[in-house]
Amino acid sequence: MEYVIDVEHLSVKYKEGNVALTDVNLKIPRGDYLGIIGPNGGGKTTLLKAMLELIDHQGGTIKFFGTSLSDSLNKIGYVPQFSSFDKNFPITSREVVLTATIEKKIKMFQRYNKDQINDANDAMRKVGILALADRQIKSLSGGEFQRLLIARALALKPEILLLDEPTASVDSSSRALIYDLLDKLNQEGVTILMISHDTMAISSKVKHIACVSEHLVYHGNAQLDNNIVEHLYGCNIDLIGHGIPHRVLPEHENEGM
Amino acid sequence: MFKSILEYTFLQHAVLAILFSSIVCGIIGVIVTEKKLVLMTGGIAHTAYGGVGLGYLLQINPMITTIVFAVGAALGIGKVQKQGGKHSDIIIAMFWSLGMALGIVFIALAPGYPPNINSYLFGNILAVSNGDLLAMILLTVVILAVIVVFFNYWKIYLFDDQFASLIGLNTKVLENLLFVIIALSIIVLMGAFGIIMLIAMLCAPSATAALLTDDFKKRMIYASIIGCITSLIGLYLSYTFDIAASATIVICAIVNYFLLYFIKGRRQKALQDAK
Repeated sequence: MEYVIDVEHLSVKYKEGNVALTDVNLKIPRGDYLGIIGPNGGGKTTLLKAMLELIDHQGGTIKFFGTSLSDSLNKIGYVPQFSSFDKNFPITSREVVLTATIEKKIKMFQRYNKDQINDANDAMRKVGILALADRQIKSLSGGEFQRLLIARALALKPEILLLDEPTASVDSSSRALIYDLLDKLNQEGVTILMISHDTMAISSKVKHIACVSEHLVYHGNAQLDNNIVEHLYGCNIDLIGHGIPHRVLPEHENEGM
Repeated sequence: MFKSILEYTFLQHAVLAILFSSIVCGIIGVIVTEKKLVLMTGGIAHTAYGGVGLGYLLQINPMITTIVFAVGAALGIGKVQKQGGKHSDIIIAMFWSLGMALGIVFIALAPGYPPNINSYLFGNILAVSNGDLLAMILLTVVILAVIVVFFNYWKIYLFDDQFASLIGLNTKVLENLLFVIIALSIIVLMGAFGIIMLIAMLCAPSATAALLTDDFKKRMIYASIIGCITSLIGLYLSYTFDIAASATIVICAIVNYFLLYFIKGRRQKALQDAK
């Protein structure tokens, strides 16, 4: 099987010396749709950032498409947590999406051409915010801003999409829209890795689940059984299957005792 | 005063210095306020004072040693800021005082009669020499060119440097270039407004422009124009009432900001009430 992402023995320490991740091995086949879950502070975001070399790692190797990250940058779209943004920055939606299309080799007096503007418009249309193209980002709602960030990643025409809590603090209609969009992209062949804080609802279309809590506690089928649940301390999750909400993980019988 | 401008070269120099420093205030001011680099810029400016002292100690033009100090401080503080951590503000504060202390010690050790260092600390826009003016113009042209030529890249970098590096842009180069440009801006503004007050001229015009427009480019242009107008008003008032020019200009810039802030607040309130 062809792996588009191959993480081996990844270890990350925070600056203060605390261990964030220990010996994480993660192989992602092409076309996968992986939901990454785990307790707060368990290292989900750290895992994504370390994979993208936005933070240093102390051990292990990370390969994209069998090669290094720097050779694969044009195939990877990243949607960060939107709480990390200064929403007061003076920039319009269209300008944000356009930034993805800029020529990577820095040249003088760069201007966006028709193709780049069309690409940006297409990406905004896909997430349903084309009408907001000329609005300042500070006037966008949480859901609109989140979709803007997804549009920016899509403007890169990525083969892999990594999303960090794309439905956090987003209204329910935006959430449904984002999940539908991701399902559709996945069907078109885009490999998706999505962190979800949202233990109540991970999209039914997620093919696999990884639970991260310093270690990779579980990585496998999205259908969990009781045996696996025993290993998932802190990773309790309800899955919505085929549009019908139902609990995949039963509650611990001795809970609260 | 207008007749005096034609008569006295020192006033002509002052007006030209205002013109060029306003351009720098407008462009770099918007960048440092949007990128939250105000503390860092203050740190660089004060560290640069060590360069002034070193110039006197080595008996070479302090401009040269000050540029070296400012650029060094910018890259050093930039690195500290980048690595973040809880202690970056403490490190910047130490750089800040260390530069001042070094400047004082160097000047004390310098041979001959101690120079008047007030103009470095508080600025003296009425005493800008031919050489100072030439250096200001040269540096302003360099700063303007670097920002204008790579404008779209600056916008990406300033909005989201992480994303910029993820799409394969060389953000290391952009970042270091930005720090050098900030250091050079400090040199331009130091002669006119002094180490202590130049930060006001970076903040006030850009903050005022932020009240007027949400367009990044327009904000830089507005800030330059606002800086220029308030500076000329300040110069006029100081000339008329015979008070310190640089200080009057700084007061004008800041008063202008608060004036607009309150006017805008009242207008918004009126609009809301109308609804």
